[in-house]
Amino acid sequence: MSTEIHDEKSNSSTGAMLETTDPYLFFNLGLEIFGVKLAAIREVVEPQPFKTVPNTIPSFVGICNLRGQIIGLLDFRIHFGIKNPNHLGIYMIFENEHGAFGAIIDQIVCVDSLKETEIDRKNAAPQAVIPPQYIDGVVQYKEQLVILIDIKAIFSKEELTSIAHSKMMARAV
Amino acid sequence: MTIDKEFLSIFLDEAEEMLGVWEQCCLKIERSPSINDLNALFRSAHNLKGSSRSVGLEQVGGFIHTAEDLITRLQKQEIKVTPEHIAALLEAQKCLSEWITELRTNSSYIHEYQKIGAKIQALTTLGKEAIPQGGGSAFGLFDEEPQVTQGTLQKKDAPSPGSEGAEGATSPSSLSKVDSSIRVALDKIDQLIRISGELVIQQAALKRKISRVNVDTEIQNALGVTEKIVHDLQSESLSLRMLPVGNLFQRMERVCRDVARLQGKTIHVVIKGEDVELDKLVIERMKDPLVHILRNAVDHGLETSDVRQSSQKPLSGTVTISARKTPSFVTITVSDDGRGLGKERILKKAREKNLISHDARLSDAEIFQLIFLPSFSTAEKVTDVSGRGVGMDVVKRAVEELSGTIEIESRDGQGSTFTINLPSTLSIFDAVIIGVQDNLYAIPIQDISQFFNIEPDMIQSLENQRELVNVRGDSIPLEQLGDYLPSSQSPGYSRGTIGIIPKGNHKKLALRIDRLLETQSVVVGDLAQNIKKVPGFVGGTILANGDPAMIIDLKHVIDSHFTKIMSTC
Repeated sequence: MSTEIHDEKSNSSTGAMLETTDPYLFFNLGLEIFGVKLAAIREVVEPQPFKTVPNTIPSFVGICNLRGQIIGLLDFRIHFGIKNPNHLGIYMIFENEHGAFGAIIDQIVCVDSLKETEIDRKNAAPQAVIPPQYIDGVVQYKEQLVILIDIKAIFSKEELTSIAHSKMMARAV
Repeated sequence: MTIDKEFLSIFLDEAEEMLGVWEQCCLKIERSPSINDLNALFRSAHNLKGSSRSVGLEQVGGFIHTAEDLITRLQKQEIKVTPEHIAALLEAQKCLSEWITELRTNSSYIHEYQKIGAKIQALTTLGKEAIPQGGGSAFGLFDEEPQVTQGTLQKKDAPSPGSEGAEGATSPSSLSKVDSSIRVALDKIDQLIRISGELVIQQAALKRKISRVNVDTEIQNALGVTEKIVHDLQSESLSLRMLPVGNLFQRMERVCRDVARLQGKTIHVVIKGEDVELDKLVIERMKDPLVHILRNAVDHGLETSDVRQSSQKPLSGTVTISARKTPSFVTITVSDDGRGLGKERILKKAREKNLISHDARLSDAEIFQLIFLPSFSTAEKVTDVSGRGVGMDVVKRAVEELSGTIEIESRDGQGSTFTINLPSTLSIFDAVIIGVQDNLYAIPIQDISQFFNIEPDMIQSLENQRELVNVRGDSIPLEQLGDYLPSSQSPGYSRGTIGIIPKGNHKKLALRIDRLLETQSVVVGDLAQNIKKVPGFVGGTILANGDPAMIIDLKHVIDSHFTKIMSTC
């Protein structure tokens, strides 16, 4: 990941005519728009029935059966405290070497290409709803400041286990 | 010299196979020397030498060349085969195995081989002096003119000794198997298993949907046939991960012989059921525990021959390693006809170490289970064979991690038997589907020792809301399984009236559940890494109705319970 960014930057700094552009998927959490790199997304599916999993954090709503595969679901609306979700939302399914995972969002806005030069990689978002370690960059998109989320970081770093109310303490002690 | 990674990895796979043949030949020769096995041994060494040089591993090639020299002289009957030669060749094999293993991670690794190399060289030249003109017959078994005596030695394809050109052209039976198989990455097999599992689930869903509408018999028949094919496909793909235990057992025989040789004990190793199959992962995980049990059996179990003679036993001790398939398990037994575990010694030790109270009355089975406790070691003095810092508790844990069980039977003066029950595969097992609150869970059937209905008169209430339940005269702490499985979505719970008692732990605990639905065979599904870390579960699965469900790890529930009790005391 980091090497990729490095390559893109070196391209533009050498003044090459070809600017790197990547397609991004824009989506709503509440009223705000966020973006993720389209390449990270395996598919977008309609809401599926899910089953809760004990000993997990509240935003981890449970697991669903997606064509025979067990997919864990993290409700981004709860996770980032955007608002209380009042409808089922849409599932974005991601897959990497740690397995497949679903994120629940409100709705898809569009898919659009962004030039690397448009993206501000340094400045963290001023209002910081998303913790800085999960921000890939910030971009000015259609008169709105849009945070690009580093989905891989969320699914590899975020701890799902919560045993606050459980007797399942042995491993934690 | 740089070595192409891909070539190296192909070579390493091949080398492991060749070293297996090498070992097998040595063990056969040790049992009874035959020219066929010597030829096969020579071929494996020679091929290995060739391929190691072709990938640029000159030192490996050079070392094998030294060993090959010795084998050639044995093969030409210029030197008599003695146990010493076999021991040296086995030692060389061990050295190469370690070397090969290390090369997987470090392609420029060079193993410490000089010492054993020198030993083999010495043996080679020693023979030269002893029998200058290659004529003596080894063990009195090899005739000088093997061609004439084909009948007695049952030579099928043995080249005449000394004709170097014949090697590789003929293949012994153990090598010919290789030709009809291909090597496939485990990932690909797992992918196939996953897809066929998916197919089974979709098939079940389809069947359910079709049963709700009226369809003619033709469609129903077609559906029935598809169902059978889908199930066959699944069981065939699951079988791809299965390997016969023969290879593992061969290694174990080697372990026994190595220990016996070291201690000057004569030993007879009997192997049964080599064709029984186990999941590749189960085989790998069982290697170290079996090594430990066998080292103990030969080191502490078997007596020396003079002791055996005085107790009127056969002079050589017998160790039997066998595998047997039952419908739900594969049973591996390791037994010896040695002195037995010594119940009194175990009891004395356990009392000294305060593991049991002085007036405790234990059944035989319970006494033998004591040796599985951490830090329990009965060997009065630590020998360099068995006393390697690993206790039997590690053995037990390894077996339990595979959802298996281990039991011991032993009679003083007559020997001991270790019986290990293992699931034949890890990817599919029989499970009980239970309900706790409004969620369904699967529990592996082998983890549960009993179910019972909780009647009010069985309950005894204790202070701070603890309860005991009386089950067939036993008072067992009773806990609500739901307390261990709270989920933010469904707070509040009822008090279930069905009790389950987990199996396999001498610390007993009964758990209340709400509903008991059915038993079904369950395919373990792949979970994302961070879900795997959630405590209390061994995995996830998809039930016959298409719902996903977590598989409960009862052992973890028990551990949490007792850890909690201990810490509040």
